[in-house]
Amino acid sequence: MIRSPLNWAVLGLLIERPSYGSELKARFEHRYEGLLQLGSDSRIYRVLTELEKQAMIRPMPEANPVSSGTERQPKRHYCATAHGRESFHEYLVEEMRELRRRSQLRARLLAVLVDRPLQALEVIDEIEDACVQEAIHTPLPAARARFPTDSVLALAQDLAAEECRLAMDPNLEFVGYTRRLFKALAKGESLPR
Amino acid sequence: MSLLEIKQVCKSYGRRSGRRVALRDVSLQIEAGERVAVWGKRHSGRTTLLRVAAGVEPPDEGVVRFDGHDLSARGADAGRGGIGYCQRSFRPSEGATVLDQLAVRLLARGESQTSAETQARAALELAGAERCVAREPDDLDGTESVRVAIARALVHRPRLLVVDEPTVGVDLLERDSILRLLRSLANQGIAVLTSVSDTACLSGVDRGLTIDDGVLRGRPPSEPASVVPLRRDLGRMSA
Repeated sequence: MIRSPLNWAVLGLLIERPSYGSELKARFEHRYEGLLQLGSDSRIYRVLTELEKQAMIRPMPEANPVSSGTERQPKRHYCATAHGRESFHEYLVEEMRELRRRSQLRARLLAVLVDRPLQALEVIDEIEDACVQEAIHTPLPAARARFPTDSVLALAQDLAAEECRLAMDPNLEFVGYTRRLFKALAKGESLPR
Repeated sequence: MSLLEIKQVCKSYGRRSGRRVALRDVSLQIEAGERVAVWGKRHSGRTTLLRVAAGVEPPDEGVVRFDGHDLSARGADAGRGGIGYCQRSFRPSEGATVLDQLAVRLLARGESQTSAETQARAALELAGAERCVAREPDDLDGTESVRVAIARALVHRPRLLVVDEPTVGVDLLERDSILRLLRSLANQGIAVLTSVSDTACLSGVDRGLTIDDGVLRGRPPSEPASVVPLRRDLGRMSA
């Protein structure tokens, strides 16, 4: 099973369309800028090897095999396998569950401060400020081009921006609820039933 | 001196038994050309805050100053003084068409018909609603009615525009065009204060505030923003 988000990101690019090492690296950097980093140049090839071992991708037959050893090696194109596509879909759903687990953990960790409600309220203020700052610094998308030159990239950017913008609503609502509870505790009141 | 200064304002509604506190010791400053949005749930006090900021409602306690002048002072006129409060409802008595609706208040202030219509058309163009000029208000869709309402507030050339929930009733795919309009007005030097119930509408504002149970929270205008990405914050907590 793939563990690294980086490997899933590369698999996603190959599901989009077949590609080869250096092109994949360029597409990766363009698509996931600021979210994931490949690091060294050789990393993309290690990822491809791992994905191939797990039968998520496979090399494509060469269209024009090179006959002599004097010329440059042909670029090895990869495409996603049916197993790779299926696993990718499962990963997207599982990621949502993972986000839920993290949120649940955060909620339970806040309860640790039950005897220090004033400290909890400070933490809550800071979480709220972080939410607001994240929301206001998510750029307002420019007007959509009717026929974008790279429609996949445009859609990816649009979806990522919207996800970030909408994600703050439940966080702020949770902040409001949590603040009420800790305020009650700070006043020495019992928790409302 | 800030363009708008709200200082220690309190506001309540209702009588003693069913008294509801809408604003609790609220202070807020807004600078010229600043784009400020206040996020809050229903009954949080967000609409009251905007109405008080626009001089539409007086506070029970505290002071609201626009350009140094106390809005609650006798004879103060927020509209004439440079505040445009955007209202989405249209009164049939104020004209059959969008152009009439915009021109009527200018006519009431002594402008000639030609001047009033010219200014109304310019405001509609500024709000991106020039296509609506001859339409009846009832025929406008959600986005158009917001643009026309903004144009109606702009017709008096305000220095502060106040809009309560500008994207309510607007198609989701049109939402950002309204936000871009408000951003562009701020870029032209008009301070813009909005309430929002959707964090997506905080994108691109200069300052985001929250209001809950009448308490306003957020950074003052002068404090530099130091962004702490939330994901990193959550990551730390869940590591």
